[in-house]
Amino acid sequence: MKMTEEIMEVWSGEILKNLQRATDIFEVEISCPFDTKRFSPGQFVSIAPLAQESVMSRPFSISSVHDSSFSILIKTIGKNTDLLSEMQKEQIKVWGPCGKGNPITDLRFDELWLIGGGIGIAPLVFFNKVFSDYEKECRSGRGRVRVFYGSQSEEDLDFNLFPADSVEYSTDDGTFGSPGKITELFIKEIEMIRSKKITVVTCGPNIMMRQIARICKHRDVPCFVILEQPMACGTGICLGCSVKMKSGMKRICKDGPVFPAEEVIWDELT
Amino acid sequence: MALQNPIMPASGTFGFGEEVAAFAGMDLSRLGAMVGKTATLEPRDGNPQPRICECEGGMVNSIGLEGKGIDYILEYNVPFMASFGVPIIFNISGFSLNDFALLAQKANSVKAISAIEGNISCPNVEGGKIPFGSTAKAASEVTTVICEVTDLPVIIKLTPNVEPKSMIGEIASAVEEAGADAISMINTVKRQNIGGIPFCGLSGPPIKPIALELIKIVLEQISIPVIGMGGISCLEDVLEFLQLGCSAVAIGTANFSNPLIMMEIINGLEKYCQDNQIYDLTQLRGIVE
Ligand SMILES: Cc1cc2nc3c(=O)[nH]c(=O)nc-3n(C[C@H](O)[C@H](O)[C@H](O)COP(=O)(O)OP(=O)(O)OC[C@H]3O[C@@H](n4cnc5c(N)ncnc54)[C@H](O)[C@@H]3O)c2cc1C
Ligand SMILES: Cc1cc2nc3c(=O)[nH]c(=O)nc-3n(C[C@H](O)[C@H](O)[C@H](O)COP(=O)(O)O)c2cc1C
Ligand code: FES
Repeated sequence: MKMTEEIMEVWSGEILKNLQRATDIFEVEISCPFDTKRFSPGQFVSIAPLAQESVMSRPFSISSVHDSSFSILIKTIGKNTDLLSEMQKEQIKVWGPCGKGNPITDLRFDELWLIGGGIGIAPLVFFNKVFSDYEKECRSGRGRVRVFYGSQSEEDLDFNLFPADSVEYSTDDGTFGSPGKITELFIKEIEMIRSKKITVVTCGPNIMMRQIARICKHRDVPCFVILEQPMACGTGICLGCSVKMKSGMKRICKDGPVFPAEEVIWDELT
Repeated sequence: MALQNPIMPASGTFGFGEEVAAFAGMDLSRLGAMVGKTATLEPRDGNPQPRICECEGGMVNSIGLEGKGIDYILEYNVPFMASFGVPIIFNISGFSLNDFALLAQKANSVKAISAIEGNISCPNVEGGKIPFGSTAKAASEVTTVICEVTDLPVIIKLTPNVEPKSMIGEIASAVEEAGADAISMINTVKRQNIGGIPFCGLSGPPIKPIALELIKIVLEQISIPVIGMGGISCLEDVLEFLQLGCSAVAIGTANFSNPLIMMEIINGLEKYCQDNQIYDLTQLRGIVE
């Protein structure tokens, strides 16, 4: 699997497609002038602010890559995501690949569990693709990928992201899939596991990741978390996203955004 | 110290150049100078999150001088910066006069460093909660202790957070008299309770008028060069600062929304000079004596 490239590209990306996928969720396809194989799951791109009054770049995880473009999945929560959701065929300034990519070097797991809460599912779509392809290539019968995708309600779920047989849904209001929090579904499932070796990657609200990390630790399951902090540069320069971790200060944008869960001091995150 | 052009990054918005150099299209050897993040005596974790937030059309930050400490920076970061062959302005900050003296002494012994920039905006622990840069007396004292231990040109970076505004002129004069070779300004503008950050500093477009106003006051009172900064985000802004009388300018927050902005401004400035038949660059070339 590909390691992070050192060179950071800056380009004018064309919005090739922009499709609404769920309430407030859009899939935006952006042109890419370099080999998209350079993107690794977990990495993100920074988008120059679109709103007149914004000065900080906007980070978005790569959710899928195509021949000469890639897609991001955005949730409209404010001025820039609102503007982005309305763009068609326009050019935006983009830079990346940002951050370190896939951290999973030990591939001797029976199952890879990807647990996403809300828009936190975005980077896991890319993880799913890469590891499902890998499993198929190996044909070892090991390395199956299982996705757990939770949201508040059915209307917030994007059903285009995963093949039906690899994903389990949950909704807080019980309108689709397993009723309740995604963490409850996770606990139920992990308690049924006896001898399988599981590796977990999770992205979503900190409270959710924290709980998953705690359970994984308890059961000796390797767990990686994809973290978020407000970012200004997205490239390790401003120290705006820097947080204290067990091994010292880490920049989420440059040293992450994927970290081994045991590195994280949860109370240090906002 | 002569610069090939008047464009440089502002401290804290450039790291020590490593991440910036990784951008395709970025050629650090074309900068007028390089300015590193503030170096402190000891390694520092800086402030807890949250640290940054957009506001007023700019952003506030409260990084809290996170850094690995001067010894690490001199050993690992300065050699990298030096490999591009442009002057290195080494930014330092301390919490006491003694800190500043030790920092300047350490920097002075490194050949690759072309000038020392004293960031006097952070609180003076010995004297209470007031930054060195907010009174003429304290600013003058810091300048004196730095100048005493170094032969390098000394730049003092002023904070705009002074009361009343006209005080900035007195502070600048005191700094000049104490031996500074240049002044850089402005640092961020004080704000409180923004986005969950108790104390923070505003940067970007909304502080440009403040920078221009304060620089004008300072230029009337001193004869040493001024490196201007505060909300510069395009060539027009650069020309505005140069025309006001700045000898050079620094680009800060604008680097975050366009990583190649400094290259674009340098190209734009070259073209501007050609188009306007400015063959003699003395008005536009940065000169910090
Ligand atoms: C590494 C990384 C990867 C990311 N990947 C994705 C992704 O794939 N898809 C996606 O939709 N988003 C992603 N985000 C979050 C995304 O960057 C923000 O939602 C976006 O910057 C908001 O910009 P805005 O101008 O629309 O909102 P603003 O107008 O800036 O903010 C609107 C409101 O939302 C709050 N807010 C701002 N940012 C966040 C945030 N990150 N989380 C929660 N509340 C916030 C603000 O405080 C404000 O109240 C990622 C963030 C990081 C750090
Ligand atoms: C994230 C950030 C970090 C900064 N860190 C420092 C620093 O370490 N030392 C310093 O002297 N100034 C620091 N500054 C201030 C800038 O150098 C500059 O003076 C100020 O931001 C005004 O310029 P601008 O509006 O172009 O950003 C920082 C500014 C920002 C936005
Ligand atoms: S966002 Fe600037 S260092 Fe991470």
